[in-house]
Amino acid sequence: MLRSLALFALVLAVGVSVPPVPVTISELIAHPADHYDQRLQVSGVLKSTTFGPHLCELPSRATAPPADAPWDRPCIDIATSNWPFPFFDFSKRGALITIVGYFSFTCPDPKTPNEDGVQVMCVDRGWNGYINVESVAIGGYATCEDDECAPEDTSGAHEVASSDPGAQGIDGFARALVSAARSRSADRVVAITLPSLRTETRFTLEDRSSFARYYGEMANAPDWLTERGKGYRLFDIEKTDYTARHHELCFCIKGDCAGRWSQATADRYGANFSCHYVWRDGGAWYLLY
Amino acid sequence: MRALATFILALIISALPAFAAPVKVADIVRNPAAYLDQRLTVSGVIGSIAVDYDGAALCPTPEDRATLPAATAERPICIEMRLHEDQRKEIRIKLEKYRQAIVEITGLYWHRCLADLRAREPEVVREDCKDRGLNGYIGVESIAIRGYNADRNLTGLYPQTEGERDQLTELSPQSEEGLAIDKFVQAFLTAVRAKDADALALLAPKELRGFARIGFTVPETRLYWYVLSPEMAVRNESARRAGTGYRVYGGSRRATVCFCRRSNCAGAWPRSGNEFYTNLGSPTVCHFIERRQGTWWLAD
Repeated sequence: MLRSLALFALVLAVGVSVPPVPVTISELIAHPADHYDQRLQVSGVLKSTTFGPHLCELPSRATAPPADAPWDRPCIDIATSNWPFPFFDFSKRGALITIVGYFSFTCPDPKTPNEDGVQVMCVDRGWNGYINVESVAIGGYATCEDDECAPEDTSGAHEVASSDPGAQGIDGFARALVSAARSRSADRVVAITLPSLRTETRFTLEDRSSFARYYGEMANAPDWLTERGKGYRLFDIEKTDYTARHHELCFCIKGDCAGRWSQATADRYGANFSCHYVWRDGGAWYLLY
Repeated sequence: MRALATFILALIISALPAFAAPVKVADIVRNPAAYLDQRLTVSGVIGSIAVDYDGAALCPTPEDRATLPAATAERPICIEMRLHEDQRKEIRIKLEKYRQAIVEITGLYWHRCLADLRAREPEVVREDCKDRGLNGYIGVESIAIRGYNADRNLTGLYPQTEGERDQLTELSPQSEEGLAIDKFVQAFLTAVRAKDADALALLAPKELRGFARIGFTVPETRLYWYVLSPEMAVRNESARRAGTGYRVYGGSRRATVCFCRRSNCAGAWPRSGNEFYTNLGSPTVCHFIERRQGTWWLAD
């Protein structure tokens, strides 16, 4: 009797803690039906888009997409219902993550009509199904090898020299911004923001996690952050999507940035640089975003 | 001494704008400049929630809407709600708590695109106005729910006219499909009553069961809130009766099952597809189902 009870308890314990089955993204895409209703462990590179996060095959395993369909990368969607990160959090783009969860597929075969004879478009759930998240762990960041992670074109960014009259006053402004970040003061960031944007900036930064996302790295950076050339540089940007020129003030927040400043304005997700749009009006500098 | 006390009292009152009578959305729409950059308490109806893009809009009540010109894409009459991440998550999960809720929202109001203020500003700021079709923003600090709007067709961004509302087809409970769906309904209600996550997951087709496994076991998900939360779960036994406890609308592959949350829903069943999207004030709660390979399942 006691032995049966012990065996039952063991079976119950094993059943409750069934280990997740490791599976690659390529395997999920190739044979989705083999993995329905299975507790899985899937690793990949996080790709953040305005339509939500995706999990893409690790660079070492990914094959190049066809030339006539360059968007057809081996990725699955990540269901955001239990996703622990902010929906529009682009700061973790390129992260190597491992998800434990369950795989689902709304439209496993969109090419054939359904029972009503209707060919269903499943774009809202991606072309390759989605993983429902039980837990997620970050294990580093990928060295991106494809155009999704490639730096943006920085040919329109030109560093503004210290001697340039157009840079006058930027040193004091940079010190003020660093000081505001280090004092973790939303009020002080608002004070140097363009007046018409101050209310919105105040609302955004009064949330502590938002403040940390925008200024956390600057707050913890070394003292030389306020040294022009080593800690920060000013760039004049001429972008094709905006008709007017503007400036970006970029701070080096990770290690020594010597030799890497040419890529500062392309570091959109704050891996090495913290860049901010600034504008000079009537001799005074203002923070935009 | 008295003058000093009066002065101090006036100072205190001037520092507490949130305790003044709420401003109406219609007031702001008529004259946004008068409210610019102030902390306000605004009364209105949450008229639009775009789940995928985490957006929400605060609209005039039906009474106040009547005092404004009809809403158009060029001349909207709602204010956009800007949310912090925790609020965004709350609303995305508990849609029915906020959908068409009559609320008082406290927060900062701003407007990016008033012409006379923006004329000389940098292009990168003015560029933001291109897609900003609403009447400025309220940065939400707190939401107080005062009730729910009964006529859900009149308080969206662009309210529907009578002629635009889709007509519903009710499925007879005695039909072959009706009887098959009744089997599904009984199993669903039994599982909800028992809060049996495994049984509920098995009501999802295998290709969607993963979604159900997580949803029915993790209380912080949308699915759990909608099906199993105390606010939304259908637990009254009278809901099991076809016709009076539940009704089915739809076709041969996809259908909607609506359950009555009251003792009697006569005259209160959905009249259009809009009313499938319920809230805490609704008499019914609806679930989408679909038929795959001859069996009825919970739909995604």
